[in-house]
Amino acid sequence: MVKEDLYYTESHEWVRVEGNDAYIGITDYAQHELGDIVFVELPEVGDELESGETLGSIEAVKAVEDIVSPISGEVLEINEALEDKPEIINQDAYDDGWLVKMTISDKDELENLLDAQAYKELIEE
Amino acid sequence: MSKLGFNFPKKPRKTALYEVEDWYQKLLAEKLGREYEPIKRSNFGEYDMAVNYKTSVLEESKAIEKVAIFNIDHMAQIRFTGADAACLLDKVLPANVQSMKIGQCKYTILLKEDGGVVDDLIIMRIAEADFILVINAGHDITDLEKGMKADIDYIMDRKKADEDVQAVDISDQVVKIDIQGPLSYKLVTSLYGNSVVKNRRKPQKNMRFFTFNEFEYEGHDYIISRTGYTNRWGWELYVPAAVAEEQFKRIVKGALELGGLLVGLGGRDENRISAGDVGLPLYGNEYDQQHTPTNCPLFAAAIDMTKDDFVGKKALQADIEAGVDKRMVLIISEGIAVNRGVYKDGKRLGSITSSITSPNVPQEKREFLNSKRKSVNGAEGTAAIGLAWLYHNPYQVDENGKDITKTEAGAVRIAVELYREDKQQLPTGKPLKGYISGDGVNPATAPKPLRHIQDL
Repeated sequence: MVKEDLYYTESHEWVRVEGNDAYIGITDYAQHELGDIVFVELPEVGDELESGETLGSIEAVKAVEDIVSPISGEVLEINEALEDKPEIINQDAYDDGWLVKMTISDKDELENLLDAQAYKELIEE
Repeated sequence: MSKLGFNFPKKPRKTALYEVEDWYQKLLAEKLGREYEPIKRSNFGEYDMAVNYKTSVLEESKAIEKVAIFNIDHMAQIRFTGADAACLLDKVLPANVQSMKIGQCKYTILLKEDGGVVDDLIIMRIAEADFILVINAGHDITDLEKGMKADIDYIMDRKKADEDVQAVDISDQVVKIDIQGPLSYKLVTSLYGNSVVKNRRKPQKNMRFFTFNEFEYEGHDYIISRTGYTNRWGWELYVPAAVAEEQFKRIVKGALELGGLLVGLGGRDENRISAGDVGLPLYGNEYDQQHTPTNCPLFAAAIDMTKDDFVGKKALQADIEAGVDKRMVLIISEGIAVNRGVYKDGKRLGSITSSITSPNVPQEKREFLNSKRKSVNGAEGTAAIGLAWLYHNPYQVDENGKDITKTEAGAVRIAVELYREDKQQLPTGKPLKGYISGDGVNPATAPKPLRHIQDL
C-alpha cells in the first residue's frame, strides 16, 4: 500500500508535510519486508538532524535497519507509544506508526524525494 | 578438472516442496483464522526459500519446544562409490573417514590448503565403498567466473587417475525433511513405525546420536539419521523425490496435531543458536574461505589432527603451533547486534557473526541483561542471541590453558558492550548491552538418551 499524499525515499521512509513541520515514518512495504518489529530506537526531542543522517533504527526479529532522516530539521516530538508497542508500525505504518515529528529547515529538500507514483514503481521493480 | 557441479542458475531455484509449501500456507491460514498471503521468501544458496510461513519467525522459533519441521531440500547430497572412495575422502577431508562404521554419520569441515573453510558437511557411510555427503545449499554449483567450485569437483579434482571413485549428485532423487524437538520421536514412529529409530546392530535399543538407518516404506527407500541443526533431539529424513509431496503433507499434518509447525529460515537460524553452550556455526556467517576454523565448536569431533594428512592440515597445524588465541562464544544481548564489535572495558574482543531475536531465552537470562527495553523483560520477553568470534580471551584459563566457561557456582557470564563501528573499525553510537554466556541459551538435548522423550 502506498499513500498518495506523502513524499517517499528510496530507503522506504515517508514524509507527511503539515504546515512548516513534517511527520516521518517507514512505509507499509518496509514494515512488511522487516516482519515483526520488536524495538524502535528514536532520537531525542531537540536533536538537530541533517538529511541523510541516521535518525534511529528499527529492529525486527531477523534484522535491524537504520532509519535515515529524509529531511533536515529539529525533532519536535517522538512517538512514545512505540516504546511499549513497537508492533504499531506493523499494524499501521502510515498513521499510528509514525516515528518523529520535526521542523523542515529547508523546503527545497522535499524536491529530492519521490512522489507516490515514483515510489510505487520503485517497489514494484 | 572435474566438472560435476551444476551451472549457476539463471534465477533462484525452487525446492521440490515449493508448491506444496503453498498448500501448507493455505492450510495454516485456515487453521489459524489468518488471511492467506504468499509465502515470504529469500534467496539462500540460489534457492528461493521461505523465511517464515503464515506464522511469525518468533512463533516458528518456539515450535522446537514441541516439534519443528524444516524443508531442507536446498541442501545437496553427493554420493561417492568405488574401491578407493574411502581413501579419496580420507585424503581430502579432515575427519577420519577410513575408521567410520557403516551406519555412522560424521560431521566435518572441507578446507582449502590455506585452512580457509570451503564447506561444512555430514558424511554417512552407507557401505564399505559407498558414502553420502550432505552439504550446504549452493555448494553444488561450479562457476569459475564467479569463483565457485562445487564440493563434488573440489574433491574429485584430488582423485588420482588410477583411483576407482565415482561421484554423483543425488539431490534430485531425495528430499531432505528435518523433524526436530521432543515430540519428533512420537511423530516419526507414528508415521513410519518404531523399528526405524532402533539401533541397527542391537534392535532392542534405540539408535544412537550420529547414526542412521535405511528403511523401506510402501515400496520406497528412505534414510533417517539421528542428527540435526537444532542441538535438540531430532531426525533428518531423506525421502524419495517421487513421494516427497505426499510424505511432506503427512509429516506437517502430524506436526500440527502435536502443536508443532513447519519452520522457515528465520526459525531455523534461531534454533541453531539457542541450544548448546555455543550453538552451532553456519557457513557464510561463522565460517568463510578467509578464516581457519581453529578452536571452533566441534573442532575435535570434526577434525582429526592425528591423521597423516588432509587438505588444510599444515595451515591448521601452523595455527595451533603459533598458539592462535581465538574462540567462538554465544552472546545474549538486548537487541540484534549484527555486524557490531564486541567490547569489554573499552577493549575490542572480536565481532558478532550472527544475531537474531529469540523467544527461547529463559527469563532469568534475559533479566540478567538489566536492560531498559521492555521487550526484554517479563515472562513473555525476547532477547537477541548471537555468535561471535573473539580474538582476545575474556575467560580465565585453567592450569591446562583451557577457558573456564563454567565453575561450581554455574556458567561464567561476562558483560560486554556491542558497538557499531565506523570504517576505521572504531566504536560509534550507543552500545547494546550483552553478555557472553558460558552455557549458551538452553542445554543441548541432541545427544541425550531417547528414553527421555519416548513416552511423551
